[in-house]
Amino acid sequence: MTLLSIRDLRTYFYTEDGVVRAVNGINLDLEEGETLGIIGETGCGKTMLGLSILRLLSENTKVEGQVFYRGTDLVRLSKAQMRKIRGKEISMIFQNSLSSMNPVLTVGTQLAEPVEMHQHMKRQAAKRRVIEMLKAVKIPSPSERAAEYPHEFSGGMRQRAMIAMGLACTPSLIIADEPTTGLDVTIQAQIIELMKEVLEHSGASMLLITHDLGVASELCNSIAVMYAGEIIEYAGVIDLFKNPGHPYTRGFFDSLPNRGLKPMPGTCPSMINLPAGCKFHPRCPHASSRCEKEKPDMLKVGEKHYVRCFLHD
Amino acid sequence: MVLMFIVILGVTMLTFLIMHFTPGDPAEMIALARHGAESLTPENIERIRVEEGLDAPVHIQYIRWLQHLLHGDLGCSLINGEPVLSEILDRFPATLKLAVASMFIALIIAIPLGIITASKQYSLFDNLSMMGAMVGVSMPGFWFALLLIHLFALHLGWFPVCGSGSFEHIVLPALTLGTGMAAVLTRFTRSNMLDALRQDYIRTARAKGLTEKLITVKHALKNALIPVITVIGIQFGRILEGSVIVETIFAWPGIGKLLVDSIYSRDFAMIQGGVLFVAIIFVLVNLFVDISYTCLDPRIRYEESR
Amino acid sequence: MHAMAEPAYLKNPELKKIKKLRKEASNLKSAKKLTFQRLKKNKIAMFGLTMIILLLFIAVFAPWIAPHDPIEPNLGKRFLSPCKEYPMGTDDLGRCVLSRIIYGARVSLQVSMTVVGIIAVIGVTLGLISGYFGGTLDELIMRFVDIVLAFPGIILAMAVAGALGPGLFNVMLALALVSWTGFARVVRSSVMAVKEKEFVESARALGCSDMYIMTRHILPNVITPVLVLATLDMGFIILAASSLSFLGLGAQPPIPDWGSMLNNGRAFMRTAPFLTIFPGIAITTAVMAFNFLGDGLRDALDPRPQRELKK
Repeated sequence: MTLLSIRDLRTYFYTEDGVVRAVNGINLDLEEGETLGIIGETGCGKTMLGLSILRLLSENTKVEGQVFYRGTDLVRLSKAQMRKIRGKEISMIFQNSLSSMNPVLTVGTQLAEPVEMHQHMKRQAAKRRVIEMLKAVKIPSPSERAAEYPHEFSGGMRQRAMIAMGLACTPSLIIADEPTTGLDVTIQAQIIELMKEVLEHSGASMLLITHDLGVASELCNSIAVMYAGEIIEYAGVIDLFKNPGHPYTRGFFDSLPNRGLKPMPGTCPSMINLPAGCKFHPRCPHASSRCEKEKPDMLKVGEKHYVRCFLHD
Repeated sequence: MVLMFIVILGVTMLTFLIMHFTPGDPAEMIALARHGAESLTPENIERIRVEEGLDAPVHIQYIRWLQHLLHGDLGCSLINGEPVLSEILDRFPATLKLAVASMFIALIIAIPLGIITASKQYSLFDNLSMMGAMVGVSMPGFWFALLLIHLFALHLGWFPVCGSGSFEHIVLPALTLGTGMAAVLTRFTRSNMLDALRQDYIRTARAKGLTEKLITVKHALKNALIPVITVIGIQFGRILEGSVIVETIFAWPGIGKLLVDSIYSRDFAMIQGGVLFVAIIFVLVNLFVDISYTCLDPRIRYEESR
Repeated sequence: MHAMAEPAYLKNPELKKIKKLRKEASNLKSAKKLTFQRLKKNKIAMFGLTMIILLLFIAVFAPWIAPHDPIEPNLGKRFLSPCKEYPMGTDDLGRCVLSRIIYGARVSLQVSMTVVGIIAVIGVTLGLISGYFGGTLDELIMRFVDIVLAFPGIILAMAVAGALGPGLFNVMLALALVSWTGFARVVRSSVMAVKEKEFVESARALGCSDMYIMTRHILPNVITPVLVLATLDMGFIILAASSLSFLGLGAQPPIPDWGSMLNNGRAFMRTAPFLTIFPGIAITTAVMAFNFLGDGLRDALDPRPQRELKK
């Protein structure tokens, strides 16, 4: 059975200026042990996708569609049932580790919480587990570190602690939201190495949300490119780098430093006033009149390679 | 630390200057108070002026006064001749009792209410509580006192109208001060809780599968309470302010009533001493609050130790 | 604004771009407009504003609205309970309570507007100087603020008013002496925040004098928190002034003042409770109105992230 199966996921909320459609009909499948990268610009909805899966959004945000985890539709679960999934079956690792950790609680306390909650460990046992976890993410002197506060850690160490927190109950799926953003390049490399090890060791699946193609290429088996709340291309990582199909993906690659630093004109559309037809057509150099009116489906262009563009029709 | 001393010094200066520059001749007033209107002859007044050192230039008077101060001598009341300091210290415990009781009532109401309204934002309960808090903040304390007296003392007869001595006597005054403070503290606690609940680490806590109750109490509250505790220190000053009026209405024998009485009787020595005393207590309380803030917030502790 | 005739040499897609840009430009709302829009949507703040306007109206047109003379004693009609002729009853000197409350609005507004005006001027000036020049001047002013703040406000005001003697003017003076610190602090922190921004540096590079920079560049940016504080302080001063009047330090008889009316009525609580109920309602309502508006202003000016609406 596929581990995670998302069908027509839509997330939206009402504001003073109109309806914000952050996620617009996502369809995804993730197998056991697979790592899928979700690539996109800031504001394209990829973080919202991650939050929608775990239903971490506020009461006013509507999530529609189906998110099947091991056959159970998460969207239909009650709050109490959802709580049992979070941190235990599916965990999420956030970016910006400093603001994502509580400044007035020690790191050890925060790391112990998932095991205390889900595995009903008592204080002593939880303490031991925390030290184990810190060792696993290669944080030196774990017992002293556990008694410290988040701001006393360096950025890299804090991110490792966040990873440890996510792995505490050995989840089957990890959603990592920009885990390396904001870190030094050398630290980034260390974190990527650590994540590779951890994934191999635990056999967990991962949904990696990032705008950094380099990080995605190191960690992911397949990549889904997101734009304006939709997936516009899906391919195995090597395939994507060799044959990017969608004009947006191509533009993404062209904007990399080692490929010429060519910027793409325009910006991400506002999530309130989305363009009709293909959402990328206002910025697309190959746009035709069909693109303005019709929305393209995901068209197969190769083995496990799909592109949402009429160019491949 | 040094700052505090400068402030206290400034406080003494300001108090002295205010009293010094009030209209009226102090020597005359002393003569009047001590010996009555018949003694108001120019020679008598001059004699008193020299006796009390009132003929010296301002700064000399101030320094002399300061010296007396450092020896714990705040002068004597113009009305009954008793040393000012002992009168004040006599009355202080009563005000302290009232302050503690009021603070207790305020916290019992405000903190739970602040927490609940923050977790149930926009609910009917929240809106009603906020309306109530708004009324509490806009309402004059002395009016609320009168309303309480109307209802509980005059109509229901549950509590005495004024005076002191037994438990019943403290209830109405403490309720008056306490609810006024509760209104302010509830709003403050609520807004701090709302801020805390908006933070990223709350999202992380939810992602770990923690229950809402645990999140509210363990994660949000701890962060929200830190500024609340500092505000309590500042509120202590407002209790001192409020006690002035409340003590007057309920004839509660504390410093507030002493101050008001001495203003009515134009007992300048007492006014001066009383104001100085209250101001210094206030400065000390604020210092205490600053210190406790450093102990409570681990981020600040870290900065200090670096 | 009428549409310009499009130059013929512009190709179609560029035409579309220009039209789009023009439309966007006219949609661009200035920050001030946005603030007013947000404020208007806040029903509670608008309610407060309405109440304030009503209060002003009552104060200004008091002689035409009040049914009876507020000062003239009428010993034949003492302690009348509220009835048709005297909707709020009469006091111990037979005066109509409603009329006294109406005229009392005048007193309250006069006092609060004067005091807030004075402390705004003092506080803003000191705050500007302190924030802009910094250094020793700033230290001196801030220490002075600390010293004044070391006294619980009402107590100092009481002492000053008590020392100066009773009367409305002395009360205003005392309150002004004590309350300017809020403005000074708020303005100082705003100034310090704005000072670092580039347009101040460029103004200085152009050779503008300090005075010019302070008044033309910094002051407009600092006005917004001052407005909020001024509104909230109006309510606070009404409360403080009525407290001092209650203690007998403020308006002297026969001036109709809400605080002293309450003080007066205290002696007759058993027999004429309405004497202590109505003035209190008046004070509370006036202060609430200013608090509503002040809170609303503060929320409207505070750039918070877009609030999701409840659906």
